[in-house]
Amino acid sequence: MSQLLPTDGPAAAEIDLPLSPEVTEPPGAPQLYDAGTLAALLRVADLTLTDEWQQKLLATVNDLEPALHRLRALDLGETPPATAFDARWF
Amino acid sequence: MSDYLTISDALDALRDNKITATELVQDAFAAADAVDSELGIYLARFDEQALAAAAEADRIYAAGDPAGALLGIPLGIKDIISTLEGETTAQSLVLDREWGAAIGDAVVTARLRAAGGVITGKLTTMEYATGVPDPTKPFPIPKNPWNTDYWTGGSSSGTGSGVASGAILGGLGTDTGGSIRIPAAFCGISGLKATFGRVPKSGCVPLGYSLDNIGPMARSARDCALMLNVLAGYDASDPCAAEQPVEDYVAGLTGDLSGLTIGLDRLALVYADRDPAIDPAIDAAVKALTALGAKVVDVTLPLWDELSAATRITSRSEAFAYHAPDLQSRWDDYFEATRQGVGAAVAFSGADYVQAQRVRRVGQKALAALFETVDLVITPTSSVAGWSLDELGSMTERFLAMHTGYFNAVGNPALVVPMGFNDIGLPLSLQVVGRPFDETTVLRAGDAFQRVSDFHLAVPPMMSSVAVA
Repeated sequence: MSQLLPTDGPAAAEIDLPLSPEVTEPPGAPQLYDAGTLAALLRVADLTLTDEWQQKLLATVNDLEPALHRLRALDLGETPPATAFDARWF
Repeated sequence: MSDYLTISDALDALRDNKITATELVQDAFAAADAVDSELGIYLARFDEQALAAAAEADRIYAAGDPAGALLGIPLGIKDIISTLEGETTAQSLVLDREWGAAIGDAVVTARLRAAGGVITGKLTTMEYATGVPDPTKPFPIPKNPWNTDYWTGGSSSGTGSGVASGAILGGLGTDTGGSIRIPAAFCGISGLKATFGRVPKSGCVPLGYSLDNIGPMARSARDCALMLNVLAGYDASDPCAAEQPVEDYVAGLTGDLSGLTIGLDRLALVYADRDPAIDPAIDAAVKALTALGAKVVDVTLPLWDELSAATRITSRSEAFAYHAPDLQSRWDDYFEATRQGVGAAVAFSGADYVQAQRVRRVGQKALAALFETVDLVITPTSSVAGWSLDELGSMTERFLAMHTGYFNAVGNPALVVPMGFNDIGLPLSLQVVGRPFDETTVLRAGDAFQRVSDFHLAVPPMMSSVAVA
């Protein structure tokens, strides 16, 4: 394996990361969107869509919601984001 | 098809004067002529330029100084990567055709060309490297050479079907959630998503900035190694490019797996409708890897659902940031799947995006801990061998069935190689994953497996009737 180059600043390995955050089924049920909520989000995004397309997108958004719910429910402690995803790794 | 299925064999034949580069390129074009109207491989062909490049390669071979590592090899470029010849369209009505023209050759295209590769043309993709075909748009529908009722997989569709049909010997794909590995798997060839940052991607239309990779697709792991030798290495024009030492990936292909411990995660529970042929094929692959000297142990990849979800949130959010202005003004010009996939990001908050990046950091560390106990991890590339073009299913169903996005979230290198066929003759695929920047071991395992198997050399039945001069 290649030797990794040192990174600037504190290496992520030195940060107290939860190695294996407790993963369980997230509490509660995914919060499904209704047509009104989606319409508001589309206005914020400056997307003007037909009713037909709003219905299609609503189905897609709600299809993704369980994945989003699982992610939101994870307790990651003090874990910082991998912003500007570091190709040099930790 | 040409007598020479692999880049490696073609290079040997060129050096031994058994074939000329001109003949090799003509054979590739003849194969494309025979099947492209049915398979949808090319968006644009560069016959004149390619034959001129092949003639120049022949001149160099004749002069006795064949220095280029890919000299005279016909290679195709997925049409989200820029080339000097032709337009870059991203298979979309939306992309400004001046985008590619202003760039010329992307770094990777220039590297292939400098190594003597013959660029034969631009290959089909899914629009902007995401989604599924849209028959209402004026672009070819990529079909699988193993069964034309089936999709090639995406998004590097033309590269997959092009290699499988002999229209090219190798090509470039891109991979944000599996777009090299899935069409490679469905088309029965090999494909490598190297470590994030290993191959510079400037000159490629972005999909998910922090997930995108450019990589080789070819019949064999050895061919992928030959191509990676040319493609890998830092370039300052890509802010994501890694300043890591580059190894000679071909030199690492020893055929011996002695001393390696390989973790097997069958991912048996992540998709309900699993093809029953997959587990017997995995069992056979494990037996072969064991016979080659490896020790195979069962493992569980950490945070599977969470990292897979992180890839979905990240890719859609990053794509939405790029496409928002055009989605606002040209919604109807996009493929339906692009509108649904990228447009869904309106439901993600800034906090959701950041949470996804936190999960990625935790996941990298958890996976690194696993890699302290094993040298490689193997999984099936997908729980299905493909989808009929009539039944492509929902985005979520496809995402759950394909076991590739996880490794975009963490960035590790992942090679896919054919490992058999299902009961209707569609290829099955094995995914081999390594530590960050350890493509050498990944390719060694794939190559060793291919020394004791021949699935990667199988030719789709439709090609058996295609003879070339």
